[in-house]
Amino acid sequence: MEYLLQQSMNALSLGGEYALLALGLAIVFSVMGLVNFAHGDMITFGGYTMFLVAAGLGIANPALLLPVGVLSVVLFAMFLEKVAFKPVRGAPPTTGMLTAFGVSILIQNVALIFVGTRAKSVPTMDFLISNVTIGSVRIPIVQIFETAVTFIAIALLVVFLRRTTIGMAMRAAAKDVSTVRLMGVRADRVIATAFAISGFLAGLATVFVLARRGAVDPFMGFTPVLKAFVAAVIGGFGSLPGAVIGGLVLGVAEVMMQVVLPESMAGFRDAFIFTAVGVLLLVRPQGILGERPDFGEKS
Amino acid sequence: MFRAENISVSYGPIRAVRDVSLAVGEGEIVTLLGPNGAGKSSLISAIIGLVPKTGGRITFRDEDVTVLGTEALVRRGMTVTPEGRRVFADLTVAENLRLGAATRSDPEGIAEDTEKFLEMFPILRKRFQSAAKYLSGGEQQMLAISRSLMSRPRLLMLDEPSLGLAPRIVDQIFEFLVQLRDWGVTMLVVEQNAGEVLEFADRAYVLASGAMQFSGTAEDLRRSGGVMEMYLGLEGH
Repeated sequence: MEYLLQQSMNALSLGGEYALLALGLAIVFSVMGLVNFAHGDMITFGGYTMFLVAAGLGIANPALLLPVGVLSVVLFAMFLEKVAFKPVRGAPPTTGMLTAFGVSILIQNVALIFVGTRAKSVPTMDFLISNVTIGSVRIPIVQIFETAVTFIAIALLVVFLRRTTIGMAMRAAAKDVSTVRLMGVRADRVIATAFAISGFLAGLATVFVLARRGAVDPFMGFTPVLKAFVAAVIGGFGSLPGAVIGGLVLGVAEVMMQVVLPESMAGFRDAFIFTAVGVLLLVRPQGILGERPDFGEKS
Repeated sequence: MFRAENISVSYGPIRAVRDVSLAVGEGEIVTLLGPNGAGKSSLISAIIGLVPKTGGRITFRDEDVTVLGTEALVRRGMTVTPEGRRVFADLTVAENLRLGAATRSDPEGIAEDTEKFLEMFPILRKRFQSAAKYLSGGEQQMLAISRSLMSRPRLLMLDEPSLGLAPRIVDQIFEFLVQLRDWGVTMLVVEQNAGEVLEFADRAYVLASGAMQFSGTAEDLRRSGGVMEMYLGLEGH
């Protein structure tokens, strides 16, 4: 029973992290059709900002450090949009994707050159790693945080998308940008907002990625963006609820594999999961909640 | 009040619109007619800034607005109800109307206007909180026009409002347009079917193969059997 509870918490928090990551990818994709492979490197940026603030300025108080980290990723995402993605907005989708790869490589190498290859620890995360004991169940605080923050962030996002004009415009722009412009809503503003939200979600994810790893390195963004991509594909690329569901499904699947697989096969965890994803896509190429592309009608 | 001069639109090597001029006076209903593929939609899209113009000049209310983008034009009081209605399918009727008023910041005025259109089209009130995709074609057209009007435009351009709708619904839409004239909305109505729109339009233009073929009063056009027959497939009378 305790084991089950612990593992469920494990699955929920990991799924939550993946959901945050996938949502960040999906929200940008939905408004401008860009698969932002630099999403993971935004996490790297946030990690290094926190490392530099903590190590360089000596600010170790998490109440200050964490908001600074999250905010830095929001600003960085908006900055990337302005300098890297805006100039290629009218170009074919491949150009956007290659731009994202370029940005990713650039960030990794800037970190390599100016900070170095070796992982740097960010010490302030200690409080997140400790455990709470409820009855006989020990749960790491980070998991409780992660689950709670994920659900709060999703709830806020839902309210934002449903209640504000710019939120409605973002939902509408996912299908029809030109008609949104006919409403007098600036496409620039919609896209900048999407990047800001994507940065916010990546910023939150940064905190949890760091808490799990305890250190930053130049390639720390790779695994997160890969998981985000897989989660978004499972849920249906471009669908926001799909991204959340895909994230949770992926988290649950990974934890289940860990539980079920014998130790000698633990290394094949991802292989099993990717096989399952492949089978899912054979049955439902559009993912769980994605819409089948409609080739029939002229739009 | 509105004047477009020598507008040209090209898609690669194809010149969809060549040197076309048209004008709409305050309070007028002007119709732009022409067969399928004449360049009507290209012209409207170029006027509102959704496709680039390769030449020409546009003035609106004594201001040169040639270089302005779509968003700026809408803020100045021009708007288009696009061909095929293009309601935001996944958004509710309420949200569609709210987005129509995106340029406004007077909550009372917005609520008042919303109420006005719900009064006008009771079906929209009934479906207020359901997604627009569940409306019928005619209902979607009513929503699309109401949505355009939520920005309180001075010039409303309608791109084929009757397209794909049953005759009874078309009558209803056109009755609504006539009523709009009484509210003082200036209109440019793009149509393929000349018949009904000529009954309430003041003036008409005929566009074919990307060039203007006729310009005059609706009355003149009705009488000029040749133009009617050649470009619009109708007997003049």
